[in-house]
Parts: sequence; structure tokens; C-alpha cells
Amino acid sequence: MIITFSLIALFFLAVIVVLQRAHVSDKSFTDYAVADRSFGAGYQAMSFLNTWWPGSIFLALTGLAVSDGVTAFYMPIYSLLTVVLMYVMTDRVWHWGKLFDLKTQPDLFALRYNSRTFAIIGSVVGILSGVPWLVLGFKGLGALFQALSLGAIDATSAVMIGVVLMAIRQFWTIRMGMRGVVISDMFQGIVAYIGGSLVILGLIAWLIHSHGVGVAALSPTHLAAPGLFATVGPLYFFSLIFSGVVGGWCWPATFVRLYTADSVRSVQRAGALGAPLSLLFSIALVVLGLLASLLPEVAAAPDLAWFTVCRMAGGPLLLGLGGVVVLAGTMGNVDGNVQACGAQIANDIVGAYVTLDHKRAVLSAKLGMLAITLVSAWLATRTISHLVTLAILSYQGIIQLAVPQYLGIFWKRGNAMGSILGTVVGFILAIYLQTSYPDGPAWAWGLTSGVLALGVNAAVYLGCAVLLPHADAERQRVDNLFALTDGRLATPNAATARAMPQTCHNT
Amino acid sequence: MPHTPTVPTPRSAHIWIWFALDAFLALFPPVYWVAARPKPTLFGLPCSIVYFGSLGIFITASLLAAYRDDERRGAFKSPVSAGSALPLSVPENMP
Repeated sequence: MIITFSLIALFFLAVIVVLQRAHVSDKSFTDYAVADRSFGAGYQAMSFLNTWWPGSIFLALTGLAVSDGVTAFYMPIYSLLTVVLMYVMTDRVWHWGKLFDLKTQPDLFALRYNSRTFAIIGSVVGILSGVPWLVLGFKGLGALFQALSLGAIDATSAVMIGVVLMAIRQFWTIRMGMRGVVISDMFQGIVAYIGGSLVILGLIAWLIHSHGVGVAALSPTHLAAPGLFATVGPLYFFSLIFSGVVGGWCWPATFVRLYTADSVRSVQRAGALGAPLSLLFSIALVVLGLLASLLPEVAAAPDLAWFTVCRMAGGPLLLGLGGVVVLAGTMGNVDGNVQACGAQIANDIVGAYVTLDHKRAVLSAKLGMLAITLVSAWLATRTISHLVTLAILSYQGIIQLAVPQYLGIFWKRGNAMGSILGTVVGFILAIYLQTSYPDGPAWAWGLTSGVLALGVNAAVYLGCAVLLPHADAERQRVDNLFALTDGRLATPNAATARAMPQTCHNT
Repeated sequence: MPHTPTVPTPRSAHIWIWFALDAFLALFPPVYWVAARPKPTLFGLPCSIVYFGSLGIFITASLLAAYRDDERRGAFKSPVSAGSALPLSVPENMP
């Protein structure tokens, strides 16, 4: 226990040293919210990975592979497709962000749809949906500290330790804003995904050489994904990947990565740099889970497979290192979510009603982050029944932002009415279907509640686009917005795109 | 600075086709109904593991190829430069 907790303490101190040395006073709210769009590809890649793969993935992905076999590969695959999606949408999103000083995802909605109402809806949906996942992140550290204590600490105390540690860590997130998040993501990302990959590969080698296990020994059920005749439905696996891909960029913390880069090139280069690492890390993690499922000790407790294998292979030292990579991943994920929530509270909710100068905007964001941290930490210490169900519900809900987000970026005809109606109808329908059919409607061939609601959402959006076409002024404004990113309109003329909304009807 | 519009040549068709294939191979149900099975074995490995491993490499390779293509065609000579930000244009008045 001394060894494992010492390693955790050393890592935590190293993160604090990195943050203290990197502190720079923010010059503007843009500086605080998106680090003045100053980061290159390396930071972008690590920042994306640190937000995308939470620390709990070490437990969740190995656990899923142990219990459900190759089905777990859906995560690596949708994660890579998400990077492809980032690659094709970055150009327009980043340029609009730079030209119009966009700082959050709802800022983009406000610009594209000329609607603050929809921006507020998007912001509230993003924040509310994120809280259950933040609470899960805090709680996940309980499992970490219980495992690292080798049973000496009970579950409740372990959760408390995790909550206190993560709450202390948020002091620097609140103080430094996005710059602190991205800089610490680099260090945490190197530990979690490069260090983590080395540990994973070492564990795979150990399993093969010490236990003689191989994929050929796996049962046929572990080697098949849900297929045409699966009890969960033939389209279930499609639903998992599809909702993962379109939902990925609906999370505020993920989306804002597009605005922290210093150029489109940096975002796209980050994709090219991050994808191979993401591929290696996640595929290896699934393979580790598959091989470890052949060990009786692991099969008995799939959710703890990561810690069990670390302990078996390398005793307390490797268990401690396994804990450090989980903590590194968790920190990056929680920091990113707290920061994004705070920025949206200041920029899109408070800022929608009150004009905020730089200092007041930063103060609002800091207070928002503090509130989110305290609420999540407090909830994590409570026993909340159905917390996981709540988190799944929130995921099915937030992916409803995908329709106005992607169609708004790639298609000119969508309008504010369609985005508001579609999102609200989709959100309510997703929640209704998920609560009525927790395992998915039997009549839907495996389509999940979120994907079914997305279909209705898209139909509403498209219907409004067809039945309620843009007025001439709005059509011109949207044309100009798109023209800005395909080289047909030089930047000074952006004033046209900028000025038009003020004369248009504001939905 | 110069807001000189730069119009790079369009992204190569083969990159778009490659991206479309990424989505098709990962999302079109009949593909995984057939491929994500234990049999046959390929190179001594179950078909499902070969399918998912190859698909991951295929998607990653498409991103590397796209980045290389974008560098080659001058897509990163952006018309947007530092200091060109305009304030967000949405009306202050709330609905």
C-alpha cells in the first residue's frame, strides 16, 4: 500500500509542478476559455486523447472484453471514426471560430442559426448531460483507491479519498482555465496513453509467456460480435458505433478542442498524430481483456480485470503504475469537463443575459467551475440509485445535438426553428424510450433509444428546412458564412456575414 | 495581415472514397454480420479479430493519407490569420 500510494502521490505532485510552472495570467476571456487558440498539433493530440479516453476506460474496456468478448472493439472503431469526422468538419468550425471569436459549442449554434435561444438550449443540455459522467468519474476513483489499498480501505473511504484528490486538482483548472487543462493534458496524456500502452503491451506479453494464453483458446461466443440473429437485435452493434461516432463531438469538452488549436493544420495534424496512438492503446486494451478473460481470477470479477492483471503480473509496483495511468486519464477527462461547463455557464448562459467584460466573464466561469466541482463531488459521496442509468440517459439525450451540429456545419438550409424543435423532440423522445425500454425496444431491431430519436429529430429538422425556408436576408447571411470557408469570400467581407444577423429575426 | 483568400485544390477524390469506405466497413451491418465471427481463421487468428484490427488500421491510414494529401495540395495556407477575429454577431437582444 505504501508503494502504490507513493506512486500516486509522486504523480500528483508532478502534475502540480507542471501546472505551477506553466501558469500565465489570462489576458482575455478567449484566453481563459480557449487558451487564445494557441496550441500546436502535439498538445492538441494529447488534449483530445485525454478528454476522449477517461481513466475509467482501463477498467471499462478490459471489463467489457472479459465479459462480452470482441464486442468491446466497438469503442476503438468508433473512436477512430470520430477522428475522421473531426478531420472533415474542422476546416469550417475552426475558421468560423477564429473569425467570430467563438469560444464554445453553443457559440457555433448561435452563429450558424442566428439564435441565442438554441445556444442556451444546447448549453443547458451539455452541462446537465455532463454532470452524471463527472460524478461517475469521481466515483470511479473510489475503485482505484480501494484496489491500490489492497483491501485495506473500505469502498466509502476510497470514494472520499478520490473525491478530495480530484476536488483539490480542480483548483488549478479553475485558476488557469483552458491553458492549464491543455498543458496538464500533455503530461497526463503521455503518462496515460504512452505509458499506459507500454504497460498494456507488457501485460499482454506476460499473459502469453507466463500463462500460455492465446486468442485461439477463447470461446466462440467471445469471438463474435452481435450479429444478424443476436438477441439484442441485428442493428445493435451498428447503433453502438453510430451513436458513438455522432455523439462524440456533441460533448462540450470534446468540441472545444477544435477552438484551442492555433490553426486548422494543427487540428488535422493532431488527428493524424493521435489516431495511431489511439488505435494502439485501445486495440491493445481490448486484446488484453480478451486474453485475461482466460484467467479464472479475472473472469470472476471482470470490472476489476485491469487491477487484477497488474497485481498478478508485477505486484504492488505494477499495481501502483496501473493506478497512476488510470488517475492520469481520469484527471484529464474531469478537468476538461469542468472547464467546458464553466466556460459555457459564463459565455452562453450568464453572458446571454448580462454583458460581461473580461474580468467578470472569467469570474463567472470560475464560479461556474467551482459550483460544478462541488456539486459533482458532493453527489459522488452520496448513494445515488440508477446513476449509471442516468448517465446512459444523458448520453442518449446529448447526441440529439448531432443533427443541428453536423447538418448546420455541412448544409445551408437548416434553420433555427428546425434545430430547436428537432433537438427538443429528440431529447424528450430519447429519454422516454430509454426509460420505457431500458434494454431497447424489441421492435427496433437493436436500434437504441438515442438512434431512434435521432431519426425523428432529423426528420423534424429537415421538415422545417423545407417548409420554412430562410428569408432572403438570412439566406444571404448563411451563404456568406459558408463562403468564408471555401475561399469564395475574403475575410473583410465577413462583415456582411457578421452584420446581417442584427437585422434578421432572432428566433 | 492580409486576408488573401487562398483556394487550394479540392481534397483528392480517393481520400473522400477512403473516408466513405471507413464508414461503410464499420457501419454497414452485413459487413460485420459476416466478418465479426470466429470462423474462418486468417493467419491463425479468428476472423473477427482480423476484421477489427484491419479496420482500425484502415481508418488510421485514411487519416494519415488525408493529412499528407492536405499538405501536398496546400490546404493549410489559410486565409484566416492571427488577429482577424470579429465579435460574435448574434444579436444582444434576447428572444
